[in-house]
Amino acid sequence: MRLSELLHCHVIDAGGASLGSVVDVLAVWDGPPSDGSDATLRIAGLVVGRRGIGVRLGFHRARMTGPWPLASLLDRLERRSSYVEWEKVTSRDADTIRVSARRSDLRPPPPLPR
Amino acid sequence: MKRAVQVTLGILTAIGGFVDIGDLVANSETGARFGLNLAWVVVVGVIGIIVFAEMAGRVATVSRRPVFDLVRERLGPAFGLANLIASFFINFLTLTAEIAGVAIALSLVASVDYLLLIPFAAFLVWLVIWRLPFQRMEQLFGLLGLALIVVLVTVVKIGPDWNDLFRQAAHPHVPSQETPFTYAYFAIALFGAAMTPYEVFFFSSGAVEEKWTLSDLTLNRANVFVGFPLGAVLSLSLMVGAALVLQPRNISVDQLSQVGLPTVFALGKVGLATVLVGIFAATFGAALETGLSAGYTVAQYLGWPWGKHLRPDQAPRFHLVVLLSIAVATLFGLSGVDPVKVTEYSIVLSAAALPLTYFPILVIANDTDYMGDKTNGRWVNAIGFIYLVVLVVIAVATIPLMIITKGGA
Amino acid sequence: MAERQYYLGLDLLDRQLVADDGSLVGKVDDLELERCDGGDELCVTALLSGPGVLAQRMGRRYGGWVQQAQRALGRAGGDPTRIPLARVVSIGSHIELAPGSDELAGPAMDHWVNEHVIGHIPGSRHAPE
Repeated sequence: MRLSELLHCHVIDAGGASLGSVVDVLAVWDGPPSDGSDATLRIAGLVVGRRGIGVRLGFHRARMTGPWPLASLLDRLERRSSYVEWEKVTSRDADTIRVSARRSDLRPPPPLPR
Repeated sequence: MKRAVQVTLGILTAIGGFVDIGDLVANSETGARFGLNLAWVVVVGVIGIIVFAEMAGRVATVSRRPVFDLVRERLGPAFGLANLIASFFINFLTLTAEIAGVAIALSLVASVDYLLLIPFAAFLVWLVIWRLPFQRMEQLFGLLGLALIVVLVTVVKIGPDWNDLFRQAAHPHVPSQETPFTYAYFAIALFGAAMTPYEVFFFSSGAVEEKWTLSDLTLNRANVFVGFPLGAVLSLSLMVGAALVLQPRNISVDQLSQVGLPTVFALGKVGLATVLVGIFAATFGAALETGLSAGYTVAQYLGWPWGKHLRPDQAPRFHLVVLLSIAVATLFGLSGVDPVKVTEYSIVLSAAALPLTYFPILVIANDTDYMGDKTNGRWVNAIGFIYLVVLVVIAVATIPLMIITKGGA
Repeated sequence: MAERQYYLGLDLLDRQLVADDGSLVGKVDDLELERCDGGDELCVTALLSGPGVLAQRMGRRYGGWVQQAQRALGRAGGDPTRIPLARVVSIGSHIELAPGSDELAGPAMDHWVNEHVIGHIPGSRHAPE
């Protein structure tokens, strides 16, 4: 499958409530990128939300230095999107993903500082 | 001396970009119609282009990623494509106007109809892009464009009451025969002429073409702070010249040749010859920039190899886009469209489209992933954000104003 | 070296692909995902690049159109270009690839344009001077 098929999938929580759609996907690189064929880029979790704009622009990462007040505005907006670990995905078809978590238990996407 | 030659990228960007057919027409036209009541817009415009170009040049220097690369990366493929189509179209209008401008400048010397010279002018533009190395190109047309300093000499020669001029410019009002709508419309036209997006496409791609590195960041700043203010001084001189010579005689500017009238009035034949060289260099430089920008934008969006530092057969798709754009612009110019009208629409639409490219650059200039410790400082961000708001307001207001004033008539 | 985390949409999609010799060879138009070692987890196995992939990402119909157009042009070297993850050297403001990029679609299309248009114009094989 392709990443674009995963993005925009509708996400539904354990209580059947909609969490929005997949706006980005967090992946972990096991081992340095350059050491050849064994390295894998494994999907660790989904960023789920109603609006993807702040995520699309990168404002959920701790690597943006401004511009004020845009940064704080979009950052606040993105706190409303949530991060779901891949282990919590219970079922997945062409356009819907069900997860075993509830909205109230979810946290914002990790900021990945460098 | 080496340093002095190196700011030619800024001078070419400024002469062929800041002062191009758009500024020649818009500044003369508003000078003749509004006196100095719109002079403040040139100042607002030049600060804007300095902020925009400095950021784009810095991002390109640090990350080697020019504007349209980042537009797609940060805005996504769909919105990026819409952005590309809009920018490409406006750039195409400008390219048509500049080629016509080159032909008009030549026709004033050769005394033949400018339409006959359009294919020749277009071929010359293409040939320079095809054959001349980037640095030679910018040095030649940057230095030739300095002939436009004659418009400043014109104003000095006329010897106006400087205090009075300054007072007029500092107390702008809507002239009695104009409406607030035409005033606003021409303000946007002037602003779009000063802050045209292709200047930034060209400048940021030029930084990559010249292989600028971190140590060239000072050069980036020097280019921006020398080139654009020089362009602004020349623009204001055009406006003052028109206000002093054309406005009292009720001459309105609807042809490119009328741009030289104040200089002819003040300096005679030598003035005319010099101003023609300047107009030729400015429109030719801008034709080069817009011709290249057609290729830059498409290639950078799609990830193709691009640039004049490569052999044409190393960047064939880039050169194909440039060639086709110039060919179609030639046909459009030959169809008999009024070059001044094309110019007016291109600068007004440029102003409307500015947020599309300005916004992603402002965002990336704050991303430490790209910029390391070279992200925007607090002041740049403060001014940068104010301009973002200004650009969005202008973008929203442009089309309604265009309809209300029937294109500034 | 510690494991590194990436937001795939932000840090990989739409980034410039750069070959080992510094030449630009396309964009990351999509990513190929497969189950890692047959488990429940998904892994990125390859970067995909090419106009067909890009068009498909924006809408299935457009992808079909682009692929048809390409077939009509009779271009060799299938679309999409698939770059195995092992070829990726670094991920930053661009994606750097290890040597061996001959099978990429970008150079193939450049070759086609050269053969049909640009290569016929005098001076195409000379650096500007």
